[in-house]
Amino acid sequence: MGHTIIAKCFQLFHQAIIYMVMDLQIIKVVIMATFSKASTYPPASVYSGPTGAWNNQSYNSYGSYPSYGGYSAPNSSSNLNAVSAQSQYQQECQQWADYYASLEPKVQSATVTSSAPGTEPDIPSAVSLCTSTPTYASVVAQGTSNNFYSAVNQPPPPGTQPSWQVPAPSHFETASQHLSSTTGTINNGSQWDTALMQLPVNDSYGQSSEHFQQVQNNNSLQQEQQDPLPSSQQDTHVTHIPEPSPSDHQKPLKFHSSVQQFTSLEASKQRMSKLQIPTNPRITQNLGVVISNGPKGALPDSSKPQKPAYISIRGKSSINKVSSDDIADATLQPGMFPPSLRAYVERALALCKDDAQKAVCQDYLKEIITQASCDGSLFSKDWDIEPLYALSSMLAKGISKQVAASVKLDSVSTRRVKSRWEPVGEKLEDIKDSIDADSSKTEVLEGSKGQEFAVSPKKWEKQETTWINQQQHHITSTKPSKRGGQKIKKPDPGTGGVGTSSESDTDLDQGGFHLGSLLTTETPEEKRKRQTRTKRFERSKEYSGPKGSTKPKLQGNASSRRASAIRLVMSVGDVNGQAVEDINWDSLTIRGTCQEIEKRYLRLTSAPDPSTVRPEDVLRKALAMVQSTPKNYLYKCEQLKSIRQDLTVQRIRNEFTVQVYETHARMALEAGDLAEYNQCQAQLKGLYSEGISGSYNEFTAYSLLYMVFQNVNNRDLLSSMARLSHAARQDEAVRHALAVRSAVATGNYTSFFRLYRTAPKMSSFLMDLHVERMRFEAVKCMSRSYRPTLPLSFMARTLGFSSLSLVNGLDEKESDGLEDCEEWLKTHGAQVVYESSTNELMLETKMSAATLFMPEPEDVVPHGDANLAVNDFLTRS
Amino acid sequence: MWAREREEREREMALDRRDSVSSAPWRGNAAGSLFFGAAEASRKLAEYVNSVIEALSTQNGRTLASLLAISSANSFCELVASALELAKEPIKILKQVDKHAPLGDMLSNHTKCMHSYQQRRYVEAFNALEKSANMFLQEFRSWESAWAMEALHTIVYELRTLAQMADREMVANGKIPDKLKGAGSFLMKVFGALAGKGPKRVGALYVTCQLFKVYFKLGTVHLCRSVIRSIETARVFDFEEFPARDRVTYMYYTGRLEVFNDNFMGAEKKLMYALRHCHSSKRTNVRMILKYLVPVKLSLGTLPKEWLLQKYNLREYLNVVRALRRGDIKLLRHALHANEDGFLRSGVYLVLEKLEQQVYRRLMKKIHIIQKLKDPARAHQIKMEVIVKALSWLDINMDVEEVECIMAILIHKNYIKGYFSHKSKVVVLSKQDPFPKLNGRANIL
Repeated sequence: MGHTIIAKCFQLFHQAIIYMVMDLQIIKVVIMATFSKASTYPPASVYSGPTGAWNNQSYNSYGSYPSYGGYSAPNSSSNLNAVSAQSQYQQECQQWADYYASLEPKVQSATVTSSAPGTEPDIPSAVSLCTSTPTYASVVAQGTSNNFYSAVNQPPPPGTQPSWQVPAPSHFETASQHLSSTTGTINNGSQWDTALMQLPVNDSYGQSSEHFQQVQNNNSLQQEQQDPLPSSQQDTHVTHIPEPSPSDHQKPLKFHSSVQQFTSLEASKQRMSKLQIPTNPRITQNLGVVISNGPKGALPDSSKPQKPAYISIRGKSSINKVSSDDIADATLQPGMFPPSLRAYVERALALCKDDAQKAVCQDYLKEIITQASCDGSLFSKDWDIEPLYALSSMLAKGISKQVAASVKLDSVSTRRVKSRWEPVGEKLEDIKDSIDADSSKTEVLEGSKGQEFAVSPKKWEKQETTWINQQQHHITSTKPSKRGGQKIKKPDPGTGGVGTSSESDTDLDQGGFHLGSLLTTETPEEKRKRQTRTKRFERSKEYSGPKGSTKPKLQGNASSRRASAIRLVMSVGDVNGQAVEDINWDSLTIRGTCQEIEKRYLRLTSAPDPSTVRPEDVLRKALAMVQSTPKNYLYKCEQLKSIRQDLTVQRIRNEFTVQVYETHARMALEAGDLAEYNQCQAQLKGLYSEGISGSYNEFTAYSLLYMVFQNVNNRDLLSSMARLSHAARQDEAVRHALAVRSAVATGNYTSFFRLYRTAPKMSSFLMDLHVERMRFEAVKCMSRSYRPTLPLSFMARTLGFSSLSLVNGLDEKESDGLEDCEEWLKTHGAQVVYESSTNELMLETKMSAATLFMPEPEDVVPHGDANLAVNDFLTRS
Repeated sequence: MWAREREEREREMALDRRDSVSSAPWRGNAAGSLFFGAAEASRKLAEYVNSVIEALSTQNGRTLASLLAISSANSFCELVASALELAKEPIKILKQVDKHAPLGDMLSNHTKCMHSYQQRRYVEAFNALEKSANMFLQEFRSWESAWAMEALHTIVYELRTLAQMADREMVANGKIPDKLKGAGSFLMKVFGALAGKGPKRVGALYVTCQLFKVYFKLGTVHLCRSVIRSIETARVFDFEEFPARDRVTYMYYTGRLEVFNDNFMGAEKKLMYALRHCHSSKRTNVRMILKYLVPVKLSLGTLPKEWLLQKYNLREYLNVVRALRRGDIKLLRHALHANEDGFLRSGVYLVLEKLEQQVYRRLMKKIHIIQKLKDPARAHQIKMEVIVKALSWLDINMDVEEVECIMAILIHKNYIKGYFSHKSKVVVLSKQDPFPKLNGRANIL
């Protein structure tokens, strides 16, 4: 108890500190920005020592930065880290800080030397350079390999920003507290704020300045860290599992992945605590708490080590890069094309269905190849695994086919999934996505992964840096993935000229980095590109710099993601000089990989995860399943909602989409679920207006009826009537709807109930909405105009009471209707008398006229929606 | 007859701004001199700027308005556009205005708009005009008197018309049109600048009317409400003090709104006001008013003379009116069906549709009269079979139950006084005033 109180005090205190630190960071970043503007500025000379490559590297981060505008602002990034994975943003933050620090000779030298035991002894100049990567690498080396594998308390990297040390542990602690206390709840905003706050700090030690890499870093960390941290599992649970999938076989995987993600966070936290203030009692306490929560996670943990290094898949591309080092000069001979490229082109063309597609595809390929030869990646790229996805966006119709194809080319597909998000810098999702996706594909990828692991170390050994060896996994996994992602994005035609060029820049950077580290080559072209890069960076800096400063407080898992998405959008627009509406959303659309037919509906609070999204062919099966299932409406509704969600997320708008919405609308009508029906109707309206065919007339009729019964104002009704085509007016359902409208408008109950009886399709379900009202109006009218009495048999017939048993014999029908009618009349205050002369029940009209009333609906509930009744809710689950 | 009242109404001149624009001395050269050298272009532009300066310094709102007009027939648009192309440093020339009022930027935007307009790039023109209008409004706010009202109105008018053109252009280019919406929000700003107390209020109604036009076009009529409230609740300014043309337009639009709300009494009042004050020479305007006034009057039980419908080319109502006179359901249905699209678009369909009950009433009345001739003692009892037969003569085939329902509704809605006996299938009419006057009844239920 006491501990917690103290801890909370500290928590507050440290939060304050953190904010201060953030500010510091921001300032630094701003300085950084100014610094980076001038490409000719000292860095060029200072850093271009034997390892001029490092320049590239450092710029690399900048260059890529703008294109990932959303995360561009280090300060803004801090608020984004909702979940462990998201910590990357802060890392970015730190990255800048680190970088900045590294630029100051004193600090930097201290940093590098002291923090990283093995820092680049062979590259003396690199000390001063000490741009993001080296620092990062060294730190990570410490953090990950040492801490996690040996689980030893290491001294904190002394050089790196001492100011961070204090806040970091404390925050970690608070966060962990929060986490532990909130297990079972989902991302409580405030709590996460703290958690988020702490993340940057932690990660700063372990993370590189390269923000791309950070993402993957996390992943790699996770992979390596699984064992030591059973404690984090529960927390993981809380935060990460995006959609508890009911399906059995996927679940474990997902869980793993989420666990992994979280683990990295926890791990870094723990690492922090161990590292920095091992003696701090609060921390130990916290750790204890965390661990106590943890046991659940123990199982998944153990399995983690075997987790596929999806990262390592990306490693492939890194390998390629290495090869690019070797054949760097190859760019000078554009006449030669590697056979793999030829195969790639063939593959791409094979996907095209017709000539038009082929033409597009060819243009596109030309662009890719030109680009590749320009930035020197023509030979470095592994064309065998180069994704074909960009084509898919063009070949809209071949979607499912493409998916199938991509699944076959396992690595390609994974990459593609990621790449969808990566280009935008949506790293949170990316991490998550990639983890999930990869984990789900574990088996497929296993082979390639192993390969990667085997190969990647070699590459780094080339650099002959001892510390790097420790880092192998990290770097191989992170770097390549980033690169892979970008490559993937590049081929997307949608990003537009500017975007594409920026990508190629980044690619170039990376290539440059690799090249430079060995060859120290720097072409004039590269210089020029770097200049443009830095300019871009400058711009985005201006944009995001001031904004981010206020951000750190408003974090929350979901909101931060959304915010990131928004910022992403804005920054994309900013960077490319486009208006928001000019952004090509196709390039941001994900493609699902989930093969489950059944899926629970959860409202998305963040960007969707491709591994939980079903592609169209699976959705078709899902729809068929829903249509044939004997289960109740609640189940169907949920399944349909999840189908709709998946469609929306993947931006599938075709006949199938219409079919789904129509199915759902009909089912909703049948079940009287107006809210759901209305949603579907609204969507259908849009879909039909796009020219997608479906049961247009039927739903036009429904919407007319709905408008009539909802007392929509005259103007809207008129305009929708005016919009009816002549063909539509000939349709049975539409004609019926118009007749109903007319009957309602004139109060003609006779024709209304006749139409009710003859209602086509589902119209009668909609008319049910108005029956009660119509009956009441009718009885009111009757009691005013008929004298002295009115036989109930007539009323029952006129008011549609007898309609139900029309099939049966005449007598039965009449008697059935009579009883219902009598009961209805009585509940509405009508005076029914028995007329002995005719042996009939009669409505005493004069008396009834005064006593009629509309009773309160029986199923009325305080919150207004009977569908939300508790019992319903309970039966649902 | 209300149609005749129109003749007696006071003939108020609805001023058309653009028709009565005073001609600047050098207007004459505008047309013929489209191709001239750079020097001459500069001179022309300078002349234009000087006219603007003069209008500003003499506070001549009308001249300023004519100088700023874009789409009207004799605007300076063409001249300025060509001069702008050829002149050296046109901005410098335009900036001379700044000596008199800080409108240099405004004028440069305005001339840019003229230029784009001349080249039929309406979206660009609109964007430039919007900037220009914002700057002008800012300056206008600072002027104490309302001398520049006419110029402001010109800008408002041009902004709205250009927005429509820009929207059309955007649609043609496959974009989502939003310029008219933007114009609407700017007009709202202008309205805010005018609607307060003070001399500028007199111009508020014009802007209101322009706003109505925007909102009706956009289909966002609900936005009219706030503007209407601001006009009608203000006690500081008598409605009659607004210019007649604005009052007519305002009443026309608010009358239409009342039609949508099924408030026929209110609609009649407003539309009658508009008709009375609308100059009879403005035949299209009169027709537009009548287009809504006729159905409203019909539903209140007043039938127009046929010559009125002929005169204003409102033939679509001819058969409707005839059907009402004769009690001919079939004719009414036919008339409604024939003009369905037009009625739906203008929004009077639902009003006309409800006339059916009046036609039934007329039919009942006729039957009643005939029965009275035959047998006065039992005339108030109309048998169902008689009604059904009468309807079948009109080619309307309905069974007894349906007719019964219609009779019940007629009685219920007070079109007919009396009751219905289900047992003997007879409509028993009240002996006193079985067919009460309709005035004001139509909107009950």
